[in-house]
Amino acid sequence: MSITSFSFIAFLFVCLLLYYILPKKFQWIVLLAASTVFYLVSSLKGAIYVLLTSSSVYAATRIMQNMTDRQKAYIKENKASLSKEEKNAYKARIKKKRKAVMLSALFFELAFLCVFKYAHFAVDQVNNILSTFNTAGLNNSFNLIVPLGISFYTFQSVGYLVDVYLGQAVAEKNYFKVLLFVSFFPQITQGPISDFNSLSAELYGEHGFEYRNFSYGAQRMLWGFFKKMVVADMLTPYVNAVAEKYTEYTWAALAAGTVLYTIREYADFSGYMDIMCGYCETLGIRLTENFERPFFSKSLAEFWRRWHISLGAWLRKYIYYPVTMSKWDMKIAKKTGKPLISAAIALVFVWFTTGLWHGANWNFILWGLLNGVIIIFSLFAEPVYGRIRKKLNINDSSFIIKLFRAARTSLIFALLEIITQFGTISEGFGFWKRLFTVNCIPRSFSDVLPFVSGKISFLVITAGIALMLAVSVLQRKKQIRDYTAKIPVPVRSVIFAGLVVIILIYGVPASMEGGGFMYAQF
Amino acid sequence: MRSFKKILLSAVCVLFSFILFFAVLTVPYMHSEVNYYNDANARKELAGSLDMLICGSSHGVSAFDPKIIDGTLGCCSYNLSCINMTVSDICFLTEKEIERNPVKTVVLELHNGPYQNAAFQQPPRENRAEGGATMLARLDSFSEKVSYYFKNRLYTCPEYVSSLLLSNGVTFWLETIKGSGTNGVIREDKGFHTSPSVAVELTKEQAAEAYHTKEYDISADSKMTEEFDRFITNWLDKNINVIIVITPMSDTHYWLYRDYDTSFKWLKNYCNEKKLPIYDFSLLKNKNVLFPENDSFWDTTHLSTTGSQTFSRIFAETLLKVQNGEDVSDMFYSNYSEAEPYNIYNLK
Repeated sequence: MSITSFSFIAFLFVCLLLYYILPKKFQWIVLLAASTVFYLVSSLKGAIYVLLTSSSVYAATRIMQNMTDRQKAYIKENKASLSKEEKNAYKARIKKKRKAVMLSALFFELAFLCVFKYAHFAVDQVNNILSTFNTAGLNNSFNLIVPLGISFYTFQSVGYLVDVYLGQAVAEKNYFKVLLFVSFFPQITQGPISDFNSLSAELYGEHGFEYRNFSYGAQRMLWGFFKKMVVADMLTPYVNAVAEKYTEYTWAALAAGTVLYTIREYADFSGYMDIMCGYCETLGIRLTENFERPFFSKSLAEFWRRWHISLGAWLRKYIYYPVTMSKWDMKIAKKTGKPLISAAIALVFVWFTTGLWHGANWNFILWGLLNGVIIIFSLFAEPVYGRIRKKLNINDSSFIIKLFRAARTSLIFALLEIITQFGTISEGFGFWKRLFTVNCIPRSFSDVLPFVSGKISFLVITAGIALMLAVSVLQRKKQIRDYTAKIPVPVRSVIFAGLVVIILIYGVPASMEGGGFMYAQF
Repeated sequence: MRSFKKILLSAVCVLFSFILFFAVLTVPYMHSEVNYYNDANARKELAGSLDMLICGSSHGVSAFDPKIIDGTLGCCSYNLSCINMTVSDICFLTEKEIERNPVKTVVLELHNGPYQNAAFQQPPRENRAEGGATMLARLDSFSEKVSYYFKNRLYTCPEYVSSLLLSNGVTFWLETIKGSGTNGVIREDKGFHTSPSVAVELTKEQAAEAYHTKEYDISADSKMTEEFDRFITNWLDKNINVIIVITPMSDTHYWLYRDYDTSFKWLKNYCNEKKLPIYDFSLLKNKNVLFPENDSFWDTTHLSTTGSQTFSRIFAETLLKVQNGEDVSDMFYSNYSEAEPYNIYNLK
């Protein structure tokens, strides 16, 4: 079911009606039914893997929870008779069993993800190695259809599993509620990746209808459709043209293409978030935010705390902290006398995982590692930068410095992102080489933007980007919807209706020509 | 209750604003003649004078030049064809014109092919929406448009239909503001519209790789065939001559697609049963000479300005021969298997 289609909007509307018409205690059931319908219509075969994931997570968390509860009950019952050593030994035994359960379930979940997402990649690498020994390679022609949203719901399920193991969450008793947590349709295809405690409270809670939620949510959805269909989808032919014909374009055209690719990626992904978060808001449900005006970031590290926030939070909690707090990592830090080394090692793990999660492809792995290298370098170089700034009397809070840092960060991000658009590393490097070595002065519009076919389309895109920037600037102080709430209803209605008309005129044809969501491929 | 009233007020305001925008953009467009198919007025002016109607989809609009046909046959024809017209649309519009004209002959341009609307298959939603949007622009009254919208289930793709109508509306307003002309309807052309020739011939290497690499979905939708049969039977009962025509397509097109004989099977069998004359001009002997590959088409399936002049003449002369009692079957191969050895890629 295409998210930018009328049938999907009709589906959302029906769900909304049922959600508020039926008694509140059935609201989570309505969400489950809607998620089931959505997934079955979108990917019938993939549904079985959602069921397997939710079943295994449910079983494992219930077993671990039962062990924890029995442990507590046993210790309470035998408080007087058990010695401290006996208590600790008992706890250690239970912990070992719980760990075994958690690891088994973890292996099961990640095995699915690895097989579906990385089987072809792994076989390719093995075949590359075998070919150097002139040995026949393995068969790589098997057909694996990746279940819709597997990267997202697997990470979300793994988070829940680990949280229950660590005692940070109580395992849910109702299987169908766990199924809802895993398969909640607004977030299953592109996130945000939420933790169980915050999302379950929203999903299983009872929500009364509130005009503000409905109004704000609907406005946010409209804005999301505008960003996705009018900006992102209209930019798609341009960025595709740059990728396909980069050997023919000037450096100026490649630079423009790089910037437009980044804008398109942001409009696409954040547009989706606005649509889904906006819809959830109409239901009274708050999802984790995934974007916090990332292009205003002053460093790459900050950028990644503001872009795809939920993935960053997940990686921080389940990879970064466990690595930095592991014995071997702390040993290295202690031996070298540099605690930053501990952080650097953890960051390598984080960014390798980030790259691999985004794609089974050396381009993505390289992209992830390059991001990691730059962030690690910045960590070590920060004291040096601080001394330089002090010596040169540079005021960090001045507008010019902030603007410079934001522009620099966005440019670095864009230059790294562009290589993920290509199929091979050599093509990505070829793009960079051409970008930085082809030496000619652009003399006309067509030298900078040779891939732009219609002037009116480009004007619309430019206006859309300008509007996005204006909204981002205004939202530094308060939400744009707080501004629109002050506008009289008739005037507001004209603005919203005008936005709908623009989406219909420019966004619908653009979506028809190739308007899938970029992050849905992950 | 207060929330409900607020929502109702907001919804009514937004809906009213949207309807206003929609009306301002699309109503003038619908009454204009900005595109060749905005011909409601032109057809109205000719009402009562047409004795031959030609109707099909994009192949038809670019093939039949009524000026040449009228000159040869001494009739008064009109080309009702338009891009993305479905079989249902073709029958509907033809029937509408029959009701206000002394029609003696109906020529229907039909074919089977993927994503082609003038075929007995359900087209993709986008094509259906495009055909529907152009039909809405061609109908006379608001009530007729509303009836057509619901009867043809355009509410299943409202975003596409609205998008097309609004885009055309914007184009109309831009053309009006620029003063660059909103006269897409040229009355002398009587519905005919095509484009200059484009070279469509493949290179030797391309031809070697492309031979019979594509195939059609050959099933005929039963609802569509039943509706088609109702119209045909009705017209035959009114003593109207019904002629089915398949316009010539390039050799390149037939080189790419296999099983053309099978894809036309339903239509040709139907014509045999109903004793309807069916002329498949793609099976014309010496088609390659009459329609040179690089000078007769504006893509692999549509006749260009040059090709349509030749075709209209040949078509009219064929009908004249038939009227004079001549047997024209010798002009054609009996099937595509027989014609294939004479495809330019086989002859080279």
